Amino acid sequence: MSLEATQAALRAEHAAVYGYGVVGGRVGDDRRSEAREAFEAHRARRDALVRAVRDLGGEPTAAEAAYALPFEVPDGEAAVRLAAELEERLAGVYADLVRAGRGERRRAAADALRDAAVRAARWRGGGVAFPGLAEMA
Amino acid sequence: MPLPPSRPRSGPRRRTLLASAAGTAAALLAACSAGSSPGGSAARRTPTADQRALSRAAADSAGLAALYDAVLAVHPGLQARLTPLRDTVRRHAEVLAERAGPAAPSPSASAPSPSPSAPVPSPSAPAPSASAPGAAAPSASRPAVPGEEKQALRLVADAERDLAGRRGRELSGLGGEPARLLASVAAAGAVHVYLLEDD
Repeated sequence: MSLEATQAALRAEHAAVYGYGVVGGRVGDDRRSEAREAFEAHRARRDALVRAVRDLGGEPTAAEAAYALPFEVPDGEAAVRLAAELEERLAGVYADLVRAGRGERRRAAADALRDAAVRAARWRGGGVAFPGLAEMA
Repeated sequence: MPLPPSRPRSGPRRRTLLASAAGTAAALLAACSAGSSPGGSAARRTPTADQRALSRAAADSAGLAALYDAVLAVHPGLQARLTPLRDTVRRHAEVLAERAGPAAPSPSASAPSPSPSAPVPSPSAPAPSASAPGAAAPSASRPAVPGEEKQALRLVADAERDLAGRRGRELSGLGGEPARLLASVAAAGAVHVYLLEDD
C-alpha cells in the first residue's frame, strides 16, 4: 500500500537526516560540503514526504530522538561509510515506493532512488548493478 | 526549531513536470492498448504490456553494451574504466530479458529500438585502425566513435543519460514490480553518467 511505503520512506529520511548530522561532525574537511549538501537534500525530501503522508490521509511518523548507528563512527573514513550506508538504505525504500506508487508519486520516488544511488556511488567511489534491489545484490 | 525553506530548484523541478506529463501520456496509451476498463487501475494491466516494455528495455541495454564495446575497440586504454560499467549493462540486459519472460526475444536477437538519442553500433563493427584516430567511418545509422578518449567517454555518458531519462519517463505505464526494476536500472544508468563524467 502506498501510505505504508511512503511512511517507510519518511522513517528512512528521518534516520538519514540524523545520520548526516553524525556524518557532518566526523567527515574530513575535503568532503564536508558534500555532506552538508546531502543533509539539506534529505531534509527537503523528508518535508516532501511529510506532505505526501498527509495527502494520503495518514499521520506522518515523527523522528526518533536518536537512532542506533549500524557501526561506530569515530573518524572520517567511518563517516563516509555511514553516508554510503544511509543512501543505500534509502535507495531500497524508494525502490519499494516506486512499486507502490502511481503517477507523479512514482516519478518522485524514482528521482529519489536515482539521487540516493548517485550519492551512494559518490561516497563509495563506485556503484552497484541494481541500486535499491537487495534481492539482486 | 523552524526548518529553513528549501532552495528553489527550477531546473530539476521543470524536468520532473515534463517527465510526468510524458509518463501520464504513456500510461494512457498503455491503458488504451490494453483495453482496460475505466475502473481498471495500473494493477490490472495485462502482463503483455509489461513484458513488451521489459523486452524493449533489455534490447536497449544490449544496444548500450554494444556501444561500450565499440568504444573499447577504438580505445583499449579505457578498459579499466569502461569494462565494469559495460558488464553491469550486460547484466541489466540479461535480467530484463529474464523478467520479460520466455516469449520475449533475447536482447541479442532483437532489433534495437528506434531511438535517435541512443546510438547502437554493432559489436561486430570493425574497429578503425589505430593509425587513424578519429577516422571511424561514419554511416547513416552508426555514429563514429570519436578518436579522442574524452569525446568517446562523452558519447557513452550521453547515451546512458538519454536512456536513463527515457526509462524514467516510461515508469508510469508499468506494473509495480517491473517499474521497480526499471527504476533501479535507470538509477544505475545515472550512476554510470556520474562515473563517466567524474574526473
